[in-house]
Formats: sequence, structure tokens, C-alpha cells
Amino acid sequence: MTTVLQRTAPPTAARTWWAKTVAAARYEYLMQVRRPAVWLVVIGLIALRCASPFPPGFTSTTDNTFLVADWAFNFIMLCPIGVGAVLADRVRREARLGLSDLLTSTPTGIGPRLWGKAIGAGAATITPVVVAWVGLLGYLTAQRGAGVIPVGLAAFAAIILPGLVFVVACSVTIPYLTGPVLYRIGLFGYWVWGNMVGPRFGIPTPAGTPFEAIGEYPAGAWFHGTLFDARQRGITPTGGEAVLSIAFLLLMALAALVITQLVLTRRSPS
Amino acid sequence: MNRSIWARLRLELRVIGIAPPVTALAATLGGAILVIVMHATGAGAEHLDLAAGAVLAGFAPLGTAVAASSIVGRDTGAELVMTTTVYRRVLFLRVGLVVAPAALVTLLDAVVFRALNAWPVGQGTGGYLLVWAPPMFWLVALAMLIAIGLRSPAAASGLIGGLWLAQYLMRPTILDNTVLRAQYMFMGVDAKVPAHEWTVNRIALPAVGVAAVIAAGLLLGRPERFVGSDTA
Repeated sequence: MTTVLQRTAPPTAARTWWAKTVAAARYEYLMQVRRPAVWLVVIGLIALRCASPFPPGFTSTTDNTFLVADWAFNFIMLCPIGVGAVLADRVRREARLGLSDLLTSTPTGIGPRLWGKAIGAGAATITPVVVAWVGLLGYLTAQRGAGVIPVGLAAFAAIILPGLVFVVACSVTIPYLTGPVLYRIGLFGYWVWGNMVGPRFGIPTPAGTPFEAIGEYPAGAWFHGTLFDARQRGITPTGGEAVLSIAFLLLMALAALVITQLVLTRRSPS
Repeated sequence: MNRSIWARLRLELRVIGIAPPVTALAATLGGAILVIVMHATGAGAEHLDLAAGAVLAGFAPLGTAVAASSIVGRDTGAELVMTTTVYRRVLFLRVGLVVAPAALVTLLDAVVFRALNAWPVGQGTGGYLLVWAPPMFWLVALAMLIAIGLRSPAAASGLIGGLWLAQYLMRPTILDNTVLRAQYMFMGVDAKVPAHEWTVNRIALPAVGVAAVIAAGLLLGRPERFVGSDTA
């Protein structure tokens, strides 16, 4: 009996902020990664784009960096829409299920719950992308040798991940304000306008600048990837601009989470 | 219309909430504002025509489809509804409450765009309806089928958004294939197309939409799937 009552970890109130965040992230990860919709939507959108990869003929190149950069570009064209769509309803889930009061009464606090949701649910939603990318690298390795692996990992970290982190942060914060339905259509509008409607359409847009989220600058600067909107602007990205592009996305993600935490803490009755 | 029907419609509107109708209207109204601003700021005729077509055949159908699919799984008292009425009828009524206002506003958009001379190339008077109604019906029907089949509005909005964007990005591949060409929702938006292709496309889109509605109706024949679980 004594052994049963012995705690294997200190009670939540006594644990550090980070330990609480890790615990929340773990549960959020497990809840999200078990949703069939997450796998179906994210893998479905990657498969849809990769069924007819763009630009035509790039898969026959002998340059591994160029090859993985263009595959990364194909991955990130559609899947952030799915990532955002399946994350948006996590935000008000506790309120919808009538659990808000119960969670507020625990000593975990708003900060660890918000960051836990962002890290855990975000990581779970990115998991299908990682699995698909590892599968692609396995295929490319079988074709071209192990030299593809380090380039592939670097391309994932530099081209795909920053944009997804940005979308994850927006998807667990903005729906507090808009609700998931309006957010999804807003995310879609942003993704098309901010990343695919180039300057030739005559509409002011961040597409083709370091402030787009589609990873064109890191792809162009470090991996010789095909340029689209940046080329329309007559720009060949430099390493510094690629760093700026990644830093901008990560800082915006951080800002979204910090501001939301401040607003939620201020609104909290406790 | 008698008072009991009004009361019923008001009740259903309260159940679905304000977000779905607002989202559906936001896409079509937001697009209209964009075109009007472009017209007022002296945008080129080519850009205006393209933007008007994109709003009518693209953004209005997408917003309406995402909004309509979001009503699935929102019914906290689903068991109660199912014991008193046919759930299929209730759900289709709610979809109608989201789609009908969006369709009316999109029709109004078309009239305004034509008056501003912002109009897809080669479209005549029939374009008032044919530019946007078949894609809207097609996309809403597919979104409902996915949402009902998977019990997940999130999956429906993600997949429908991806399908929409894939149609935009993979235009050459789609137009090269006879079957896919008949399901291309942006037909006639950015270039004049032969009359027979246009006709086939405008018939094929609603035909697939009808099939999707029938499939969704069949799935709703087992409404107990929606009882007592969080969305997938």
C-alpha cells in the first residue's frame, strides 16, 4: 500500500515552470498525434502536391542540394494549410468540453498550458511531415547514396521547419480571438496572398521578400533551390537574407505566444 | 412564412452559432471589397478581370465550403435531436442557412463586378450564375462529405483548402487530363475556353456535387456516429 501511495514525481505545484510545460506538452502531443485527421490531412496534402512535383523535371538533377531544396518546397506548398486547420480547434477545446474551470483550479497555470499546447500539439501535427520527409530521404538515399541524408536534414530544418513553427504558433493563439472557423479561412487567405501571389499580380504582398513563410530565401541562398516570387522581384537571396527570413518567422511565432500568454493571464480571474 | 418556421430557423441559427455564416460572408464580401478597391485605385483591366473571377469562382466557394463543413459535430444535444426528428434533414437545413446568404451575396458581387467592368474573359450574362454557382456547390458538397465521413470539420477544411490550392498550383497538369479538366473549378477565370469544354465542366461539377450530397445523405442514415465523441 505504501508503495502505491509513494509519488514518483513531485506534485504539480512544487514543480518548475519547465517541468509543468513538459508535462502539458506530453499530453497534448499524445492527444493530437492519435487523431486520424492529423495524419490524413497532412499526409494527404503532401501527397497531393508531390503527385505532380514542381518545377517539372527537377527530380532528374544530379545536384543533391538542388534536389532536396525543391522537394522541400513541394512539401511546404500545401501542408501548412492542413497543419493550421487541424490545430485551430485545439485552442477552445477545453472550453467546448466544459473543462476550463477544472483546469484553472489546478496549479499548472496558463503559461505552461499554452506553451505545452504549442509545443506538444505542434510537434504532433508536424510528426506526419517528419515521417513523410524521412520516407522521401530513404527513397532518395536508396537511389543516390547516403550523401542525401545530411543535406536533407539541413533542408528540413532551414526550409520547412521555420514556416511550420510560425503556422503552429499562429494556430494555437489567433483562434482565441477569431474562433477556429474564421481562422482557417484567414490562414488560407494569408498563405495564398503572402506566399504565392507574387508581385506580377499587382497586389502588395510579402511573397518574394524575406518576410514570406514558404522558405524560398533559405532554399535559394543555401541549397540553390528554384526561385519563384523572389525572381519576379529580381532578387537572388543571400545568406544574410536567409537568416533574416528564418529569424523573422521564429520571432513572430515567439511574439504570438508571449502576447497571448500575457492577454490570457490578464483576463484570468485568479 | 408562418411563425413556427421562423422560430425553427432562428433556433437552428442559434445552434450553429454566428461563426459559420460570418465566415462564409467574410470570404465573398472581403473579395468584393478587394475588387472595388482595385477598381478605385485604377488597377489594370487584366488584373481586375482576374481578381473578379478569383473572388467569384475561388474565394466565395472556398469560404462557404469551410464554413458549411464547420457545423458538423457542433450539436451538443445531438441525441435529443435524433430522437425527435431525422438528423439528416436538420443538418442539411443548417447547411442551407450557411450557404444561402453566401450565395445571395456572391450573386450580388457578380452584378457589381459586371457593372464595374471587372468580369472574367468571354463570360456573358449566364456568368452571373455559372461562374460561381457550380464550383460553390461542388466544393460545399465535397466538404460536407469529408466532414460527415470523417466526423471532422478540421479534416474537411484542411483537405478542401488543399484541393483548392492544388487546383490553382497544378493547373497545367489538370487541364492536360480530360477527367480532371471536367472538375477544374477555375475554368474560364483566367482565359477564354472553348464552349463545349465550358459546358462539360459546368455540368460535371454539379453532377459530382450531387453524388457527394447523396453519399453524405447515406452516411447521415447512421446519425449515432455523431453521438458522444469529440471530433476526430
